[in-house]
Amino acid sequence: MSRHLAALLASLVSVPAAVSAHDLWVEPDAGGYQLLYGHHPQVSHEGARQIPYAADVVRSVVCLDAGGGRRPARPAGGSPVRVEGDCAVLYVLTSSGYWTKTTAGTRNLRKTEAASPLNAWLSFESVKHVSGWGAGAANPIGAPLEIVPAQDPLALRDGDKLGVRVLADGKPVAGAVVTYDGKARGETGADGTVNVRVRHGGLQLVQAAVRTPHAGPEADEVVHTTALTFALGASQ
Amino acid sequence: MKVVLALPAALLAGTLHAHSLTHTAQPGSAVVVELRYGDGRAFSYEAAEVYRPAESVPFLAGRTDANGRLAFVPDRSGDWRVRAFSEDGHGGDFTVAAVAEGGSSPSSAGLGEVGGLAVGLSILFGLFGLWSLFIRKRS
Repeated sequence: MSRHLAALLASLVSVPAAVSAHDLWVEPDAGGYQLLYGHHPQVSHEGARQIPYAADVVRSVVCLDAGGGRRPARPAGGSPVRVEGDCAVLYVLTSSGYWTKTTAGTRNLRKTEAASPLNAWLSFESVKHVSGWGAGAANPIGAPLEIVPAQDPLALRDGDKLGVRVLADGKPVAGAVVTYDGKARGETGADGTVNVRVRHGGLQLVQAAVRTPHAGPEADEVVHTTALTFALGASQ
Repeated sequence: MKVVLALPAALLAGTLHAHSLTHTAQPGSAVVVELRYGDGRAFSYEAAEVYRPAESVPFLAGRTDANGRLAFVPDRSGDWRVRAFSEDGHGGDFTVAAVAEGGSSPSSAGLGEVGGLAVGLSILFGLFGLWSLFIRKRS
């Protein structure tokens, strides 16, 4: 009897476990940048981990000098993708295509192609890396989704606040949850702005995700996750 | 992160025809792990594996249910590894301290039988106290 009572009571207790997503970020190397996908070292409790990906997920690359002028940047193949160029601002847009949740797991298929589809989305991920401050970083690129810093993020120190704007095609996105190191730090207001406090040196990762309805039967929505990265301190 | 205990199951028994697969269902303790995305949605219908302490062959390989849960009945006490992952890159890999039926409780294994009983009695006494107050106020 006591066993059954204990079991019944214990069954009332439930602590959910969080499932982590993967991150997209940029790390400078000699003469260019590496586009990395996996577990960002600041986000994952399990440590940094890179995951191979197909080079054709890269849809577009924008490279700007500090004044906002366009510079050539060439994505090379392989995994991770390497972008050659010298950019004060580098923006990379990727898409892994359509994903459908089915009763047999999530599949890289359109909803119209999957058996037992539950819901489906078109996935975009993008990252903007800032390594030089000026008009190029302060102004929107006009990308499908981007995070624009309100001040020079490279001048920040631990504990400083960074104002950011989340913009879709240059227009403010209201109600977007913005995370720092994978943890939610606030929701954008009507003007697309929110403040994030910097909490450590090294590579910084600010992210936002936006869900919008998808036109067409292939998916229910478009999910776009974007990141702003920059380095502070010795990693700069 | 680590989830908990005890699945009060219904008592059922039956036989499947054809190749005579029998089944039983009995009350007992199970570990129920609930997985959710960062935004709170259930990690439903995704692949999951559970490993006995220090073993590399899965004890259980299957999928989470519609509520993002998986359950297993530990036959050994210790830290059980749970892996859950989806094709689009989400996943988790962690351990859960679990107690085998009749085994001793690891320190982080949640409520044991005595603890559960104590909590149960506390709840009953609390409810009785509230009921007494209610009766007194009415009279």
